[in-house]
Amino acid sequence: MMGAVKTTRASGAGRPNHELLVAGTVLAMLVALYLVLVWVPNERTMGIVSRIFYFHVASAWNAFLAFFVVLVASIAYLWRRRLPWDVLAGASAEVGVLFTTMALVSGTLWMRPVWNVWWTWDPRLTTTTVLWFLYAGYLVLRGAVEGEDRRARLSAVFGIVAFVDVPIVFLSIRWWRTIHPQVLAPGDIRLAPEMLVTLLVSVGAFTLLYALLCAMSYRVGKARLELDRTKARLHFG
Amino acid sequence: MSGGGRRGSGCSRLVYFTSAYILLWVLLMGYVLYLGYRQRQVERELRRMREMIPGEAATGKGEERARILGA
Repeated sequence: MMGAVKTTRASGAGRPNHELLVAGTVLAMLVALYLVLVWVPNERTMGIVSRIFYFHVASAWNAFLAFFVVLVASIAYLWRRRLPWDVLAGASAEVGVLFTTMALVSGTLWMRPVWNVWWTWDPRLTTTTVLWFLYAGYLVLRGAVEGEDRRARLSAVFGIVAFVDVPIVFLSIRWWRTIHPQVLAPGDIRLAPEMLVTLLVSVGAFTLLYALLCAMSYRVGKARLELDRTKARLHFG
Repeated sequence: MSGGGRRGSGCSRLVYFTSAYILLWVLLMGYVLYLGYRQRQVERELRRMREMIPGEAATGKGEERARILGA
């Protein structure tokens, strides 16, 4: 099944769908950057620093999306036992960890001028840090286990269990007392129309970026799998 | 989006914001470059492996094979 995977163009470069995704992502990112850096007005009290918000929320949203894809792909692997699902889960987890890192870093950079601290053990921050460690651990596990089926099975179980933290992160600002702002409460969006438009465009652009990075990482994962199989053939053939 | 806390001058906030944005973009681009590097590395190794498989016995590439496999 996986042995037939073509990897001579693992980047996907040259394929129409890939080029379309690259072009769409670049265009959407440029529009988002224009809106964030030029079009949207500053928030009244925070000034220019408030513009980090658009980067921060888009990163956090895509981290959740990436980990949801890990959950779906892990369930699909355990159900179907087809390795491409496992490769997809690994690719999505990697991009998810990147976006979680960006959400944490952008949150810290935003927090410093506003709350006057670099870090505080707020429930949202703490649960997000736990999320980062969970999926970083997932990636370490993938690298440490020998044997593709065993690795895929263990990773799938870990990927399903780790997802439990995602709703906890999302709901932490409602469950516990927190200083993290709740901007997008259901039925109560506390944003000016320009800010909401900019936020939605940023989230859309970052979602395309997630799709692009995940596709790139998926192709590298498939090539890696074929390499491992070729090595095995050389060993035993 | 409630504010408060430390107030900086407009200029220092602009410098802070610019630095923060550059840092985040460096993080993002760093991952893209890392992906590209990993892809090239895997493709190169795979190409070498494939070249070795057909005429391996005839060309006597046993040492090369052992080196690549880390044996």
